[in-house]
Amino acid sequence: MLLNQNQRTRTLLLILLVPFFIAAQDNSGNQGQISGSFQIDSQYYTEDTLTGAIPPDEDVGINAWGYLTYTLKDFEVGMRYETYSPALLGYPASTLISYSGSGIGYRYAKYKNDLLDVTVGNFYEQFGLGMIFRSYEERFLGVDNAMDGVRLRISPLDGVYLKGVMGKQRFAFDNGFTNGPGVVRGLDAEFNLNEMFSALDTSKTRVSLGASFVSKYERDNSSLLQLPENVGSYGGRVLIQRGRVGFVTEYVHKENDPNVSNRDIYKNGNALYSNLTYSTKGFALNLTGTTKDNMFYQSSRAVSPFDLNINYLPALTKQHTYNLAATLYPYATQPNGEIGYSGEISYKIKKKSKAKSKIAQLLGGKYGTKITMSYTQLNDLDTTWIDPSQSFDVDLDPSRQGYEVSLFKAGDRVLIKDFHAEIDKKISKKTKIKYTYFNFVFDQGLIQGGGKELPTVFADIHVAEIGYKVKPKHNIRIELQHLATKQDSGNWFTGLVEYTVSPHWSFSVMDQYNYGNVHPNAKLHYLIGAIAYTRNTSRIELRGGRQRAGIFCIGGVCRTVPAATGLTLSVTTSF
Amino acid sequence: MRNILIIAIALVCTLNTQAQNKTVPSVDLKDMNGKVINSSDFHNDGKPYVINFWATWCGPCKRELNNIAEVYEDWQDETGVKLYAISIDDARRSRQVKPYVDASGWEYEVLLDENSDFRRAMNVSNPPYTFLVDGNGKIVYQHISYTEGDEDELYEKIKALTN
Repeated sequence: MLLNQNQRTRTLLLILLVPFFIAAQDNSGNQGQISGSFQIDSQYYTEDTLTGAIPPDEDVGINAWGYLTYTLKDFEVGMRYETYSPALLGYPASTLISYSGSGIGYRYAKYKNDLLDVTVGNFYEQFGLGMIFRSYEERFLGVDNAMDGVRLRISPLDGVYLKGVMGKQRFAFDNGFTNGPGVVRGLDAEFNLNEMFSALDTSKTRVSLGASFVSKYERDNSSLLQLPENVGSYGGRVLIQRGRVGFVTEYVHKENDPNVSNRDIYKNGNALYSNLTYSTKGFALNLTGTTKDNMFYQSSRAVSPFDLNINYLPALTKQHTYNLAATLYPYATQPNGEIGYSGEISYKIKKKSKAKSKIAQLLGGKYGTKITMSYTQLNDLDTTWIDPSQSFDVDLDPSRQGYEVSLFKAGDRVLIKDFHAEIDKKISKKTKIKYTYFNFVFDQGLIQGGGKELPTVFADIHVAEIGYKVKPKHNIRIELQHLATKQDSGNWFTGLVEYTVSPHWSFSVMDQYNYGNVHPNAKLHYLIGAIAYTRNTSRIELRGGRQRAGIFCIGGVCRTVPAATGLTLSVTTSF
Repeated sequence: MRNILIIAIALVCTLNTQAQNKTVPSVDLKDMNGKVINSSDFHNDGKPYVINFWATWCGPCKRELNNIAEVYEDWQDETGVKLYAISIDDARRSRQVKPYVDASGWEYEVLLDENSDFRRAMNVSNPPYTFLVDGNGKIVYQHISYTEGDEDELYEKIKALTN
């Protein structure tokens, strides 16, 4: 029987839904569980001549998701229905693809017992730290590289965890998800030594070892180049925890993988990540080092950096939560070459500290004080181009390496320096204050300008946050933020006032004012007001105003929104 | 059109079963030492417990758990309640969980859901998200997001279960 994609999806859907009907008819009591969630984000756009925000033809954007799962003992089925009519501006994250129409975005069936766990259809999975393989969904960002195929997880012996995956990756959405062209296959083994050997069961030192192998297949359609159709990668990792000390390291290696991001060179890729932590009650130290070269690993050779990623290389920098620190100059990992380290130290001065120093006594106070500092720096790798003019795009030699590099030698170009210090203190039963300072050195040309030469941004940010309990259940929170820089769009001021009435209401107003912009027309206020109502598992939020692109956290939830002027209505619920 | 019909039928079925209190699904998590712990083994000797989803990158989550940390000892003395704090940080960021928890002085049972398997099984769209489970393992209350003072409402619900 030949079925087209739509028919196949429907048939599968019907099969998947059979248990729902059984569940509804069987009243014997213990028949299984249904749960699900719904989310609708809709936006009404207006033209804004000041920001240049242009509404789409339909003036609106609607993204909606419904997720249902049914579990019966060891058996589980689930699916996600999605609607984009049309998608919100700037959604999904990749600009090369589009999401449109309504249909099934994800569906699976899973069976699990003590020995194994098998999934057919879509699934999310990761090996180790994800440097070699991770499929995941980041809905607010519009990133979803769900696998569509088969996954098997087996634990044949105590402490031995094996995983096998095979399938294609989700790419775009056109009345249903569409997959990319390549096939991904992977194996992962993890050995938890303490669980494997009874002699180590009670040992204070916990050790686990892991190894992965991943291969992708994509046909060679090039008439010019001889491309490898199978590209393998492998990696290993060690995790050790002994009381206060934790250590993890992962190394991955990728075979030659000519693709659009490395300009079709036949060089291998490598990456290493190591992290050491020491922590005890009230104190923590966290040190990390990383280096990577030529590590874009996607199941298609010619897609955007957001699409069809097989591996996962998150930024080493701290993920800041304050508006100006989080949204203007966030660092993005450079898979094609970066080396760096980061360190963070936290200390909590105990309440009623008996330390000799007057300052410690004062900081300890009645409620204690928490101090945190972090620093991250990343550079490019010291790279020598074999052809200094870098004009090898016309060279079709199937062995060309492009450049020479040492994985452990930093180049002169600073990509990011990110320093942050914060002090968090409760002054009285009603009042909390927090002060944070940030200092960024940011290579804007490379990270945001697509390689265009732009001046390095030097930015200083101060943030004061005050929380005050007005009366029981009524709280007010104020954030005052200032960013100073001579580059890019100059100085910014952000003010946020949030008034909450627990457990249902949240009202907030935020203004971001780009008062330091050298262009008089660009000295704009980005004013946003929001009201949110929450009841148990449901939340409704109405927001209006002028939005600058970035990550916003208002009234308790963080999300990414594109630049737009208008009204936004978001509804979420689950059951 | 047919898809919509199917969804509608599924929804009706859902409403039929909604009256039952759900239990916690079975998903493997890890503790901060890397030991595998299954969520179906969560228990508190017949007393209620709380499951809270959070992440190190989520400001409201940290506010909530820090606020509860201040009163957690009192809560435990008065009701014997236990809180499972489920970090949905991915495998990379989950390395920051133990340092953060220790430095903040939290006394919760902190577990890692690095692949968001438990998050999906519990239908948690975004953190923070809180579940209250009674002594028989039934989920009796859920709450999305956090505003200052929400912990008082949660505590009222806990007390109602233990009295």
